[in-house]
Amino acid sequence: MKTNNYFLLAITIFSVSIFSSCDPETEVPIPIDTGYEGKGVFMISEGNFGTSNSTIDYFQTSDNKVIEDIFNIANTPLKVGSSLQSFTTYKGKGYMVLNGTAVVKVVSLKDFKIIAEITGFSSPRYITLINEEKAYVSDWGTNSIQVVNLKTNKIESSIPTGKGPEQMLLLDNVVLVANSGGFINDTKISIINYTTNTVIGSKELSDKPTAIQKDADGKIWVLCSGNANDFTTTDDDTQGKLYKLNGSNYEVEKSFDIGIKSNHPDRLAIDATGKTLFYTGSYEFGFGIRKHNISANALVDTAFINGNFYSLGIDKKTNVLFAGDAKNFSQKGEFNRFNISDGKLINKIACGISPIGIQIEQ
Amino acid sequence: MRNFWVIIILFTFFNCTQAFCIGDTTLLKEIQITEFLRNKLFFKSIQKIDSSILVSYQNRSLTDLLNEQTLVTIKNYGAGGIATISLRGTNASHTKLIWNGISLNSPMLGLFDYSTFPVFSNSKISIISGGQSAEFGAGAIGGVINVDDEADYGSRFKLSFSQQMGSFGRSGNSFNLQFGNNKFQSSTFLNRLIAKNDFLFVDYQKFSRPKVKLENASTIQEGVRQSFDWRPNSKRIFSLNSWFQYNNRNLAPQIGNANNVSTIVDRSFRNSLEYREIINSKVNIQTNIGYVRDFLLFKNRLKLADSIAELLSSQSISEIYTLSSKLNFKPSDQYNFQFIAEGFKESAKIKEYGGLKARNRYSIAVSVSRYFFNKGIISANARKEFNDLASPFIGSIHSEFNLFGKRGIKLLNSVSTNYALPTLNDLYWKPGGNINLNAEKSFNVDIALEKKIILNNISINNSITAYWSKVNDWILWQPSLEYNGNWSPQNLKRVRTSGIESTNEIKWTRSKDSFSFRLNYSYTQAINTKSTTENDQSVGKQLIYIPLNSGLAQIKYQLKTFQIRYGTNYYGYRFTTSDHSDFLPSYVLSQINFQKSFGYKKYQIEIDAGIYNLFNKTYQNLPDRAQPGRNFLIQFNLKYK
Repeated sequence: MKTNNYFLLAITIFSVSIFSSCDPETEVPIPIDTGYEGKGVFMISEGNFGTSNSTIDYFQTSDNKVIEDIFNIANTPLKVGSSLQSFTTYKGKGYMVLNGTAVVKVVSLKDFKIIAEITGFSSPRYITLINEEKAYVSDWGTNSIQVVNLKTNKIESSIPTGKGPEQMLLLDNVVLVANSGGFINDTKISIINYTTNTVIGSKELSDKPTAIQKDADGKIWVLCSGNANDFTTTDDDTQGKLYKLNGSNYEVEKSFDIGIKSNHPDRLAIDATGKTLFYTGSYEFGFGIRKHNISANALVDTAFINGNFYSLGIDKKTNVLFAGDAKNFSQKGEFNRFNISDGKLINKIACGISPIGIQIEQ
Repeated sequence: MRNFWVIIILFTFFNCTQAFCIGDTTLLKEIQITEFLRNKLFFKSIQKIDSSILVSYQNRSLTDLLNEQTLVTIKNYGAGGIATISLRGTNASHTKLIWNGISLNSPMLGLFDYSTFPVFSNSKISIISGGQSAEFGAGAIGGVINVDDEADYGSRFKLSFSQQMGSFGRSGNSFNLQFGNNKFQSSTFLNRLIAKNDFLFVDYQKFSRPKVKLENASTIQEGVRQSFDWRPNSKRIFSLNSWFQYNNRNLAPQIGNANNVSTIVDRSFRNSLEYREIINSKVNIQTNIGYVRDFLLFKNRLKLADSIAELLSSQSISEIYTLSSKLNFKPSDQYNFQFIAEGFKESAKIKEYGGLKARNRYSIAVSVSRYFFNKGIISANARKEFNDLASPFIGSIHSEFNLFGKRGIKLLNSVSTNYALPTLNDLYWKPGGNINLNAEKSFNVDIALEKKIILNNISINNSITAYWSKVNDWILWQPSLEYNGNWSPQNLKRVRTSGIESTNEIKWTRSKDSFSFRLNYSYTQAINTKSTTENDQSVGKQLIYIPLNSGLAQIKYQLKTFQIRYGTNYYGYRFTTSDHSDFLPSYVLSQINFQKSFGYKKYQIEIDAGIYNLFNKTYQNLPDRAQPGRNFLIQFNLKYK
């Protein structure tokens, strides 16, 4: 604070013009073409918990340019909403699943303008687009999958699953659902026939199945976080595990214990070749990003990339690994871009608060 | 420091131009040397709430009062919900709330929820800004809110009943019975308040931007306060104040989070027993015993399609025992010595601590004051606290002088070191709690000029304060490597605050009517000066939620028993992210009150009608917390003497 600032202030007081102080100037977003070219990466940030400052930033791979907060640019004054958990693209449309606001917002990928809003959820987490008419939305709080009619953008029915359904995997006739445990715990994945919308079975794994992927050989990989149980102690923690399941009958072919009992990894990604898995824990400091070759017989117990990462995603078009750094959650985060073959940092890109993941056009 | 002199010079100039018309000032009369010294020490920057306006605040929360009548920063988590305070850019736990000599801040969180404090119109409320740890102990880095319920020994019998009704399902009533004589006084205050807070707001996160009703925001508050004051002779006073308060609140969800329907129930039992005695013309003593018990039940709930799921239920009980004794020794007209010895036992029980955790604290303090007849005072204070942590030895020097002889400009200076202890949550919360934390320490410099001018029937009061302070070892919770990625508190942050506060009032009194105008302004800079993470973008930037500028202007006109008040408050923009990537816009709120009283024999009726948020502004105090538009409140008070 410089002398003349105080001087000016004092003058201000005496001249009774105290209400003239101005707010910071904000760029008035003009509804424009976002310049979306279909060659980049959508970077998804949750924002502060409970606050409507979730964002999607668009990263142009060709020139490393970032278009910040594209939803805001296209839709002001409408806000994104709170706790954007995931964003999924499907045939020219984008589906933003907002856990806090409890809606799914549908945007056109051409100009990112909102075209519909699906309501009636409790705490939606992920969306799986089955075909042009049907989508499944995992609704964490209601322990069910909400079946959405994409023609009307309305929930038509719901399918009860295990507790706290999160990630889903679309296969030929079925959708697999990871039941992450909800308020307490769960150990199963549910198997749903998507033609009849019925649960046809489930598979017992271990505590808190959270993430799910399919590899190049058609095998299913499920990451079970393990349960922290009483947060005040690590004595009662259960082991985090990685499972390899048969792609047709979902029998466990292999299972691996991850790190030590108090590690609770919850992010799983697979590269473009479908041969290498990457996993980390959003609250696991020092765990780093670990790598697993799908045919290996044991896990590598050291980090492939060191650091603390809140999220993990792979741009399958360029085979670049995006790892989100949430910093202290009260300021904008960053995505670290890593070369997937050697783990070298390419660059860091600023994004919104609490980067939760990425999405490319599908 | 050079900067401050510019202001002083300016201020002096401003006042000297009017110095020819100064009436007689009675500055030193305020310092009644033989008086019991509780809260009567000269302090920097005391703001007393005018008791005549308390009628409008009877049975409303202290939040409303502080918001409308002062420039303290209130963080308001939605209608009826939690509200915390920030004095001079500091944390909520850096302001102590003292009620009849005992601190009501939670030992678990270190802060007080001001929305749970219904105003009782007989209270004396003052705000003492700036570091006060040497006088008030740990925690008073930002300042102290002091509430005293003092007995009126002149009164024989008073009975009053008040009823209030307001917008959004608000209704309340209170009852006060006072009786006694010049030796004994009893006062009973009962209050009850219900509010639905079901106002409309625009849900700007929905495509169609619908106007929706705020749900899950209703509150019930009930309280009983009883005080007994016994004055067996002119040299001894016993006071017992007991207060039971029950609050049952639904916490309004943030806009767009309508499914989050949390609740909080709290029950507090607060007791203060005080004994004061004048032993002889040179010595007086004061002893205070306090007991506070807080029960709190918080439920984080999620609304499902046709039911409500409980995500978390957290119950805690905390207790504080206080014993404090003061001895004043005044050997001559020039000197006064004060010795203070205090002991506290704080304890809390919650699942996350793994059982009961307690902390004993003892402190001793000494104060020496030197009086210069008709000129001023200098006082030096020192305090040392003993507990399990490394508490600093702290001290302060305050001075108050009349400049230019009797012209009535008062210069107040103060230099102090202050501290705040880590809360029990900081120490013991699992996971993350860190028992190796140090006390937060601050260094504080204040300079103030006060001026009273009385010219016939016009009186003018001006004051301007400049302050500078540095807080080291500020405790910050953030994800930590040592704690396996869990959030954990560390003595990480360093904050520098500086600012200016100015209060100005002009009052014009005639035989039948009076008019007053008040203008307050405050400039608050609170800068984070230390990086806490790699590539931290918050260094050198204003702390979140602290407005740089705030101001208020009020006009009051009184004609016999009729009063009209108009007030307008300006609340500057606040950043909401520490890297300043986002902010909340400034807002101006206005309110108007009409007050009229009628008397008939021994009965008196007071009516107060207020319109709040007069211009129906849409505003947010905190992100996505809906606030009501224009609303009305009417109060009837029936009194019998």
